[in-house]
Amino acid sequence: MNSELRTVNPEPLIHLDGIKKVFLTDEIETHALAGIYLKILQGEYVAIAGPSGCGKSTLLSILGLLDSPSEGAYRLNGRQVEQLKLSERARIRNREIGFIFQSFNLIGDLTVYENVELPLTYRGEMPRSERKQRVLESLDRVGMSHRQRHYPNQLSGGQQQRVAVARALVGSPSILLADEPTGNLDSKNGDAVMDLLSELHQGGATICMVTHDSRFAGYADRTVHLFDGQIVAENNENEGEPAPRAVGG
Amino acid sequence: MFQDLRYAVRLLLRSPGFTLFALLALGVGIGANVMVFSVLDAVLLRGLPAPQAERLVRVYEEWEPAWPYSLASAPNYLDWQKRNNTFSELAACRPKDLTLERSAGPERVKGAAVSPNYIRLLGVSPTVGRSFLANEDQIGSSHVVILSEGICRELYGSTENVTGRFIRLNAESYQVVGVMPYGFHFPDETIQLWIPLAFKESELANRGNRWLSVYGRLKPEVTMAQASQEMSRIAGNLAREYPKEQTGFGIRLTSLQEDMVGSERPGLLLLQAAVGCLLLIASINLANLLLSRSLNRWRELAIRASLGASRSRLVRQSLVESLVLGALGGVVGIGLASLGVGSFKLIAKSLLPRVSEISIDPGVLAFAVGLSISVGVLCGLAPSLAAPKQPQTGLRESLRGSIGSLGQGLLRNILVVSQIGGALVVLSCAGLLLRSFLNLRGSDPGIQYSERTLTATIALPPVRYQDDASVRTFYRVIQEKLNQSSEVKSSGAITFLPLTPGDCDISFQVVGQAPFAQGQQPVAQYRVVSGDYFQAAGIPLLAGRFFNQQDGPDSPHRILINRSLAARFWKTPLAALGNQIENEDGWSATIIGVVGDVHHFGLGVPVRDEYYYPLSQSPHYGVGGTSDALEMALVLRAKDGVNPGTLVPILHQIVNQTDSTVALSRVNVWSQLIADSIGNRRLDLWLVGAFALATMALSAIGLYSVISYGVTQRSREIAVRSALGASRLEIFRLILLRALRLVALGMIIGLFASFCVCGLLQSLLYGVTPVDPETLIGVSCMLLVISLFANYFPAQRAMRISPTTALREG
Repeated sequence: MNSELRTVNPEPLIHLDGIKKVFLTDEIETHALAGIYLKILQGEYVAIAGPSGCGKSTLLSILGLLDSPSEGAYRLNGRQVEQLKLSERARIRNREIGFIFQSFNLIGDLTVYENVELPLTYRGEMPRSERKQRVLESLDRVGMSHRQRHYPNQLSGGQQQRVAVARALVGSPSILLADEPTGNLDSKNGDAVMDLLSELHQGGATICMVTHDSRFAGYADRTVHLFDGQIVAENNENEGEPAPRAVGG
Repeated sequence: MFQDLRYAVRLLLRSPGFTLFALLALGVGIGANVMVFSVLDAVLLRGLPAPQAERLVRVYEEWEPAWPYSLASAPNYLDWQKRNNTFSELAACRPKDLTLERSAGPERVKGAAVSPNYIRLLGVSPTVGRSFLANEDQIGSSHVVILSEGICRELYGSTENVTGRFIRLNAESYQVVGVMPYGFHFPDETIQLWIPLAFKESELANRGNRWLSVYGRLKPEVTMAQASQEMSRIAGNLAREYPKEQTGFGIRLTSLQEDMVGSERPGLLLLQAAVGCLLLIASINLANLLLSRSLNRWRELAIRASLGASRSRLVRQSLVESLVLGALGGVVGIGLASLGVGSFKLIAKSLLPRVSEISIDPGVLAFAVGLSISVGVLCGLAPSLAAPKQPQTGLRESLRGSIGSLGQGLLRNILVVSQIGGALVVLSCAGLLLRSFLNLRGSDPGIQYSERTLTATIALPPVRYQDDASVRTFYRVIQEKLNQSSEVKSSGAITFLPLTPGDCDISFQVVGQAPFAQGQQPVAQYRVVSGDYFQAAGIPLLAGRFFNQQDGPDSPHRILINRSLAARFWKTPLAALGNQIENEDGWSATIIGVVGDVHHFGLGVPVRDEYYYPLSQSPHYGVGGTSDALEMALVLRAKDGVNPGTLVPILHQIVNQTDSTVALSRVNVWSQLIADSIGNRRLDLWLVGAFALATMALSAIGLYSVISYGVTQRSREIAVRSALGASRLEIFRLILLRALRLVALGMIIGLFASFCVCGLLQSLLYGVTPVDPETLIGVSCMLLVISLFANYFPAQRAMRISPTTALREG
């Protein structure tokens, strides 16, 4: 992880202020997010929970700079990012954000090593030897070094997701964004991946995970409950029942 | 099967864009192949339209290396007739231009003087009237004519009641005795009438004057080898009997079909190869599209399989679909080919033999059907091969966590690489033909000002111009009148205009040098010129002087020679001056000047040794010992700023005033005649070029569709890359590089194939080697640019893929 960013930083890593997202389809406005106010601190493990269609994935897309909000302000690591150019957003995604997808999204034509190396290749200036060192370190962290020459279709689902985690980690991002990381896994592999994320969190990683499974939400320090595009409740791991939250605040 | 057929038709109707493109691509591919095959079939493959045409042969005299295919003299022809036992008929023919008097004025028509057995030898008979009688080859009874069907209708409106009527040819009356069937124009498509060949005493006495085309029909059971053996023996005997004229001469037999069309073989085979490549690429395109569609239908196939359909049943369904496309493509192709054949016949009428026989006949239709079925099967194979062997594979594919897999696009990539390679080969061929054509067009014919020079062929009726004086007077008067015109800069005349058919050559000795042995004498072309021919044609004088008034009939004989002849014997033009040559008939003359070389036999054909006589002193070597100058080409150079076309009415008026029975023909600006002389090459270039462009377009479309499909298939991958931080430019570059890798591989294979294939074009090239780096680099760059263009749009589309897709669809 980006240690110098993590050490002393009084400002939240992520600060969403009144984020709204409206989709226009056939002249019908769909309010996917209706004013999100959220702060995620450095080293926090936050779960975003809610039923299907509540706006979890849209929120994650905006957090990951894959999409831009219709309204509101977004500060990432102290920088205003909601209005950035596409190229700048790509650069920040590459350096600050690590994605873990539900369906792993490994590239079939690339080996495990090449898949993990991919984000580093987009940085351009990094020497091959450094890339190699980081890839191997990353694979080592998820216990997949021995499979580096394999192709994704030669791995089990659990192994593929571990590789996906390694790929998310390799760029030392400020935050890991995980979208239903266990959605395509059986319970055993799902537990293993959740354990891995916890392990990473304990090592200092900031994680924001979308899940609809309350069991997995329990792994997080804090759970944010979304409903109809708004945060309706938040609870900390140690607080038990979620505390209702006033909309807009 | 009917169910499969119905389903296939329904699928095609459901995707009208795909169906339209597929039918167009196949239609163009099959149509081009059917069209070229119909030409190949009519010109090269099909036997001549005569009974037992395989027994027809052309008989040449040969004297290597100067005259490998020489015409025959009248005495030799008659001796061959008498002495051979291998031919059932041996006939002679002399194509000639004749002046036909019509109410609108004299008109030049193309005819042939033929021996009475000529038509019988070919195994045809007139549809109206009769053939020539045996005694009609005698002077006095030879004024009969057989008309072609076309000119008969032109003259009389029909072919009925025409026998017994009279027409005037060369100022003499000929009685019509027959009309040939429609389409009969032998020995070439321009012949409109036939008259008997009656030998004069002078012709029968001159064994060295070779002017007859001789044809033979082998007796049944006699092979070509046996006939060749016998004719060689006869040639040997004639050489012993007439050593002066016959030493070194042999006899060469060629099958008539080969003689007529052999020279067209390389060009036509190249065309067939080019359209074959076009069809292959069209088929690959279709296979690729079907493959892409089939990948989208794996789920459907898996469901069918799970419902009990066997693999062979699924393959059959795929084949039925492609066969329906092939059949429909065939129908479109035959329609396009019919249009193409009509246009081709018009364009190639004067450029190819047997053009009138080209048609979409049952044989060609069978070829089209075979082609359509083959294309259908080939196109259907790709999706069948790519279909998952296990039904569940199709269902599982959508559940996989990884995007794409090794080998999924391998077959499509192989097809694209083949397309690019094939396109490069055809483009290379077209590029080489283009360079050859440009080289030819840019080559110096040895004539300047051709675009400012008008030429016209003039023929004097022998009956009115029986002595040299009358011929010379006619041309002198004409040229005097032309030179008085304010629009003519200079004028002259020559027998056998450069770059038009016709030649005369003769062996000679150089006076004062060691004589060459009999049969090894040098040979030179000779031409008669009058007036200011060299000035009008812009042929430079390199040494000495042109002909002038001093070179009259009573002066010592003088000639001009070309640079090649001067270089052969005297090294420099200056050194040649004052020397004398003596031709095989003992006619000697002094060289008074050396002029530049002229490519008389074609722009790409090497210059031969030549000399020129003045009309005022010309000896008689023309057909039948009459003056060579009975037919000459007038050459009129217009003054600066004057369009040579404006000289046409002036020329007509002057000729008409001088002798109203004299007809002008082939009136044209010389540069146009020069352009026409490479018409065959232009035709090859146009056709191969057009097919090459179509091939390139289809390849580009194929590449576009594959890359475009790839972008669609990989949209998730692109979104993931984007999520991982790839910029839009990097995505664009990724797609473009993937495509370029395929293009590069295809081009490497194509270049290698071009090295192998282009060597076969050698005989069609001029001034360029088959492995010409500039051409290969040029066409490669062109293909690369087109490929980049084809890939630009899919790559741009890839750039616009939203990364949120990865999360939403995940």
